[in-house]
Amino acid sequence: MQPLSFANADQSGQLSKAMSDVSERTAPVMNPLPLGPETLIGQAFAKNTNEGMAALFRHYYPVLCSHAVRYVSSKAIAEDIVSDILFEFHSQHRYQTITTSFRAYLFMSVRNRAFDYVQAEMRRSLSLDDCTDLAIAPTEQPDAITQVDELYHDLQRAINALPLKRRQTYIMHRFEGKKYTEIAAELGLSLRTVEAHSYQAMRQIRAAMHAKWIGLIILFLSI
Amino acid sequence: MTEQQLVDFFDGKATAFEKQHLETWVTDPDNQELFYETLARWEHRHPQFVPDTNQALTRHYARLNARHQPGSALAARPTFTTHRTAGWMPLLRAASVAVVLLVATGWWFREALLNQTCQTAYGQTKPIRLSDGSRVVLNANSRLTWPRWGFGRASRTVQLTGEARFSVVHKTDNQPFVVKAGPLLDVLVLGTEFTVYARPRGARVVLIRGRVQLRYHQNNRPTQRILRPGQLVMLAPGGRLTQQTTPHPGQHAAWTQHRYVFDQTPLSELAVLFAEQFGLQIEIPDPAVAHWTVSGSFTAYTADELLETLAETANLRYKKTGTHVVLLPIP
Repeated sequence: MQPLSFANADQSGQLSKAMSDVSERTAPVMNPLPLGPETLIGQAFAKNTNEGMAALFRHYYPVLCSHAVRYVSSKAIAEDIVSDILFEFHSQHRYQTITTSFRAYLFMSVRNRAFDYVQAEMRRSLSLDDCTDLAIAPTEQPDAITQVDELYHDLQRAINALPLKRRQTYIMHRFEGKKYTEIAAELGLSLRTVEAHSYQAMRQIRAAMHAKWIGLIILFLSI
Repeated sequence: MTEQQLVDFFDGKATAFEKQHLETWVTDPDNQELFYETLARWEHRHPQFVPDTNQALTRHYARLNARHQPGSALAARPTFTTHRTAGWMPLLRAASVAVVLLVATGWWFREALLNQTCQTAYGQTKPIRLSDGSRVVLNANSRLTWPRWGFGRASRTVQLTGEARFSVVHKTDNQPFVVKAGPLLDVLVLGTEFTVYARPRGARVVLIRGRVQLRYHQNNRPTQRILRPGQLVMLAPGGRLTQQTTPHPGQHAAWTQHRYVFDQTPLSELAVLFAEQFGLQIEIPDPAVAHWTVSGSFTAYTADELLETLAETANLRYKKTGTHVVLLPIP
């Protein structure tokens, strides 16, 4: 299969559903053959940078966010990571120098940043640190592409293994970004219980991750 | 590698052998493109959530524009050009007076000019990030002072009164980080994590990980000692030093998470903690009660919360008037 022949009958269908508001505004010209997103983005960049960036956002922002959230468990953080990558892509004129497809470049960057984020978070838990500012330094990259995927598989498994109430609280807090007071009201629990659930969930997930990912964490500790 | 195999892999259903094969297969740039193409399509079919792309694009452009803004502030800065030839002398006189005044005020405020200070109120903790990347969490009623300029270039020295947890970044040139904890004790570090306590009733250093060197005066002679993780050293105001091992060094940094860990701690000692961290004077009229001990881990964000929890645990009642608290047993 060639990388650019991404004709995808199924994708264009889902795409318009996911972002009907965007596609309505910029209704595509009728094409005899549906063009892949890479070609469309390339054409848009050929016109000017702003159109190119708009096309990048339209085609890849939702998938990239959806992918990033598998690692960071928080919609807001996932959007931040993807926005940062796209901002750098634009402001540092990366679109002029990349040798891969836009898709490969963006997915690779987002995955690496998300991977770093998870590592930083684990490191934070080990050092008993509760600092809010968590700098994401580009540190060790994973040895293999497949390792990145394994990280979110393991994370998902750890989240699924949580007892029901703990999982509910964790997802409402982390994924949906709800406040503890809101969760307490919604689930009919006391604030203390919700806090305890959330704390226990974090601990359990970290404990589950440690056995396998400790090697990566030790690299940080041995400075 | 078939597309179905890739999809299975993203689903987390690949066998170990398939994963191994994938690792080598994906090193080929063409295959890598196919990998990400399939990933994008898979992610499309399994969206975890649908973000607002229009809003993201708006934010993107706002951010891009903001980047170009600071230039305008620079342009607005006034420029001083005087072309008047008359009146040189008064100008010179005024200038010299201004210089003298500036130097005098500079000298007067030299402490504030040369050093940066961060201070916490009672009941407040504060994270600080130093310019070398090291992090400090300052406990309540504490003060940290460090040089405003050249920190991390010539030296890394900070001064502490109170209590703080340090996460020191290791520098490639092995430049030490020094915490001056009172007149008697210096803690010398090379990238590590530890807590320092330096208050009038003495000093305490607990090492969480890494290695630190203590420099202090014993019998008026400078002495050194190397600390290992889990070791706790206390220095009495007179200069007497005692060392012990603590199984849970992290507990001494529990306050960074608003947690208070007590292990058979007598109430009389808790009274000291309340005075130091919250500015509350605790009175325990019954000497027997003062010897009662408390054990456990408590989370509290304010003095009242901690007081309430402790009273409940230890079966006590308390009366609080202003900053004065009387602890009484429940009859």
